[in-house]
Amino acid sequence: MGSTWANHGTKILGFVVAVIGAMGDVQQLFAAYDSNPKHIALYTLVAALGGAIVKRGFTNTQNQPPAEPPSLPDKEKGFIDREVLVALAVFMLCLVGCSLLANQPLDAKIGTAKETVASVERAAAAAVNAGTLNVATGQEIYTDSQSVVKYLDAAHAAIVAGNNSEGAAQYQLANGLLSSLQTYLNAHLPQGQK
Amino acid sequence: MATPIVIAADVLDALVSAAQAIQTLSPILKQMQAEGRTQLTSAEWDTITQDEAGAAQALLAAVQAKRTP
Repeated sequence: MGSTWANHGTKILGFVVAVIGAMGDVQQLFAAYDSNPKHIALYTLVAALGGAIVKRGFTNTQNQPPAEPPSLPDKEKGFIDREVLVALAVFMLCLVGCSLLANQPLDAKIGTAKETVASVERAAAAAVNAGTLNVATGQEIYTDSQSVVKYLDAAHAAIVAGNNSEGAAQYQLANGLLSSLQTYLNAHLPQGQK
Repeated sequence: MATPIVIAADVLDALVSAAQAIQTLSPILKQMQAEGRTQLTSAEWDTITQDEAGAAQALLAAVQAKRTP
């Protein structure tokens, strides 16, 4: 039990540090590339939503006695939908972030897309470890993600070689696969948690 | 009432993964913009590649661990 709370506290601390750093980075990033106040407002909203989610986590765990580990039935019906929604929201926000960086050079977009893939993979790994994502879905996400990475690597290699048109073509293919992955998650995740 | 604890941990995992991606990417893109470059340096690309490879490895390890009886 103690280790659970310690682990939980470590995650919270890590998250707070990460968000503080990320918010500053995002603000500077978009100030440099995008002065559209709507976009800045969107990221403010994202930060607020993240804060609200964390606050709800704190609120739910305050003033309650230390609890027993959750039983499998509780896990299956208690929080899976919420976890999936959060994972999907993070994924879609990453895609939104990519689209907001439309004015950046192609190579920067490729790097952003690759980090988007990394973000999805990290979230999926955490969900598989927690038992909230089944193995088959985790494997599917891994396979699709590696396909996206293959096209992104090819796109970057083409740009380095001076072939920007080929780089753009490979990037479009990667984006198509990312959209397919999003569609897969939307269509299969809620049914795949059994 | 252990479920709220698990919810918070899972939510944090998902959000931290996104924050990590931003933290890795942001200084690279800012440096590109500051120097007026249109291409990532090999070191920058390696940083992104290693980050993704680590995430992919973590996902694969999680899947394989769950498959192991």
